[in-house]
Order: sequence, then structure tokens, then C-alpha cells
Amino acid sequence: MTDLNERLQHASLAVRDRVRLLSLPDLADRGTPVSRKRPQVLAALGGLVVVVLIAGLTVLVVRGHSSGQARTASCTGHARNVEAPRLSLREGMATLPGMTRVSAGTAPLSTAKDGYVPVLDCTFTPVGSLDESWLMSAAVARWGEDHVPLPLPEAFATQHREPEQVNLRVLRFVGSDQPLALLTNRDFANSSWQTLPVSIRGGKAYRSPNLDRPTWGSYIVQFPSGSEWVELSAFGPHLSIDDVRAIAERVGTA
Amino acid sequence: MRTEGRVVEAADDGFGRFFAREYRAVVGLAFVLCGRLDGAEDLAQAAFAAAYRDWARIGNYDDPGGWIRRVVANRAVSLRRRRSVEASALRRLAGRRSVPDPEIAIEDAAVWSAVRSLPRRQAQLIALVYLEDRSVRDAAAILGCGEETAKTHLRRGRAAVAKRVAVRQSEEFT
Repeated sequence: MTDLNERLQHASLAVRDRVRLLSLPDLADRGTPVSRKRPQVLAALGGLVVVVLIAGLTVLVVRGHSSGQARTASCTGHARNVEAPRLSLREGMATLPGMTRVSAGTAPLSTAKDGYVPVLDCTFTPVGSLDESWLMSAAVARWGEDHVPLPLPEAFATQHREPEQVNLRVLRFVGSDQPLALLTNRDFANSSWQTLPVSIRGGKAYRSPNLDRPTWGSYIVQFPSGSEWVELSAFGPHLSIDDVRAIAERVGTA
Repeated sequence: MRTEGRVVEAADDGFGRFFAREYRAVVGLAFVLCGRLDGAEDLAQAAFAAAYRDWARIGNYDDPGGWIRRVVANRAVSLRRRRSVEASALRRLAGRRSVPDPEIAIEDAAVWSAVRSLPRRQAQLIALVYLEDRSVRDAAAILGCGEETAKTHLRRGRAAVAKRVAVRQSEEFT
């Protein structure tokens, strides 16, 4: 077991199994103000424990507590969402003006599609992956690569033209069918993203509202490139979709 | 009969179902973030008790489960840091090492230990995304941070965990 995703999922299953054995406590023992104000609640909570125990068991029986168990039942190899081997940096971006590449690693399918949909793990079988993260060089120089505060302070970020960050994920498949299928699969785009009426490199573009900096530009572009599926996201105070288009043109040209 | 009536009353307001549905998962979240099962149960019970006291308001939230996870995730990290200081002091005094939970395999415990050594946001995001199978968007919403920020924290956290548990995740630039 040498894959990070696999290790984390295995460790997660262990914890789920561990806590599944716990009995539900009587919250009345917590001495809540409610029990002082409404003494009858103590009795109610005592009975409630019985009710919730039954309900909990029912939930466990009907649903199964862990989707992790279900996910491994019928999938093997990379289909189980392990991380495909890392691609060469040539599949990413050689340079980005004003930006510093701070990490380059593998990209699990689940991260690429921003979530976990078990049925897809048997449908999409990446054979290679690349995950790159770029941060504004001025911020890296100011705070150091490992200590850049995110989101960047507004006063600092707005002094610079470059985006705060750019993230790239590339998944390689055998053939071009899966990248195309991925592009149109609804699970690979959040419902909160706003579809933009533009196409970049034959793919789709979205605006992704950001809680931290709602006025900043925040975009996600997804496009197929031969046997690869590419997702590029960028975020910054002055960022426009044209800027993102220019960044997308750099992918795979290193 | 009076008790049954009140059980129905309590269950009807949704708290009973909420509690039954979420309790163990919330304990699990607290457990991986603070590293102790007893502490995790304390944290979870305190959070549920707080939710019960204010259920008229919290029960009307779009996602009460998200609210309680945010409370527990923040308190778990604080508890872990406090206990880490206390444990260090005790170890100096007694010359003893902390004992891991015997129910969790050593290799799994090592993974969560590596997660706990991360900065707060990174650890919380890894716990929510992996332990609870949540999307980055959901995890970001629970923690009250932006999605892109969450993705970067998650990426950094994963890289750090990979190094600490010595698993395959190439980080070198070629």
C-alpha cells in the first residue's frame, strides 16, 4: 500500500469502523442549561437515546455507514481512485510570468473532479496524472513559499497584476473517449459554478464564486487535449477570462 | 407514557434524528483531529449539547451538520494543541510516551498522526475530504473558506502527509 489516496482511505475506514462501535450517549449527562430550564427534557432525552439507537441501527442497515466500503467492492487497480503515476512536467506549464510553481505531484481522480462519486471510479481510469500549483511570485518573495497567507491580503494582492494562484490538473487516459466523457459529465462541474459563454481550447469555462474574495476573478477551465483531460483554475483580484485563456494556451507546451 | 410523549416531541423537532445520524461521524472527525477517542467524544457531546440548547435556531440552518462539524473541527485542533503541551510536560515529568488507540492499526494511526501535524486548515480539510468523503466545495463551505483556498490547503496538506508517511507522491521537479 504505497499510494497516498489509498493510505488515507484505508485510515479513514479504520476510524469509521472504530466509531461505528460507539454507543450514543445521553446528552442529559452533559448538564445542559436546557435540563435546568426544562427538567422534563431529562426524561425525554433518556428515552430519546433508545429511539436514536434504533434509528442509528436502521440507518446503518439501510444505507451502510461507509461509502468507502462500497467503493472498493467492484473496482480494481486505478479504477479504485488510486493516483495514476505522475506525468512529466512537459504536460504542464513550463513558465507563467510573475508566478512560481510551488508544487507538482499526482492528481487523483477525486480531486480533479472535486468530490467523490463512486460509480465514476469504475468508469474513468486515468493512467497518468499531474497536479501543479502556482503562486504569485511577489507573494512567495514576501512570505516564503510555505508561508504565503491564503487568501492574500487584499491590499497586497491588488498591487500586483498576476493572479494569486493558478492550479492545474492533467489526467491522461488511454484514447480520447474518456477525456471527452469527463468534460460532459455533470459530476465534474459544481452546480455553483456559472457557465460562461466562451470556449477555451475546445472546452468549457466557468466562473466560480469565491467566499473569501467575492470581487476577485475566479475561473475554472476544462478541456480535452488528445488523450488528456485538463482542468485549470485561477484566482486573483485583476483576473479576467482572457487572462485565463492566455494561461490555458501554455498548458502542454513546455 | 409521559416519557414516550416527550420522546416523540423531541424527535419531532428533528434533533433526535440529527443526533442519531451525525453523532458517530462527528466523533470520528474529532478523533482524527485531536488524536484521542475520549477527548473526541467529549468534544462531540459538548457540541451536540450546544446544538440542542439552541436547536430552534440551528435546526433551521441549511446544514446543521456542517455547523456542528465546524465547531468540532475548530475545537478539536485547539484541544490537541492544548493536550500536546500538557502531554509534553507530563512526559518530561514521568518519562512516559503517549499510548495510541489499540483499536487503530499502527499504519493508520501514523497517517492521522501525520495529518494532525499539519497546519490547522490543512488537517481539517484532509479530515473532511477523506474521512467524510466530502467534496472540496463542501469542506470549504463547512470551514467557511473559499474553494480555491481550500484546494491549495488540501494540496499542500497532501504533499506534507505523503512526505511524512513516506508514500509515493513525487514532489521533485524534473
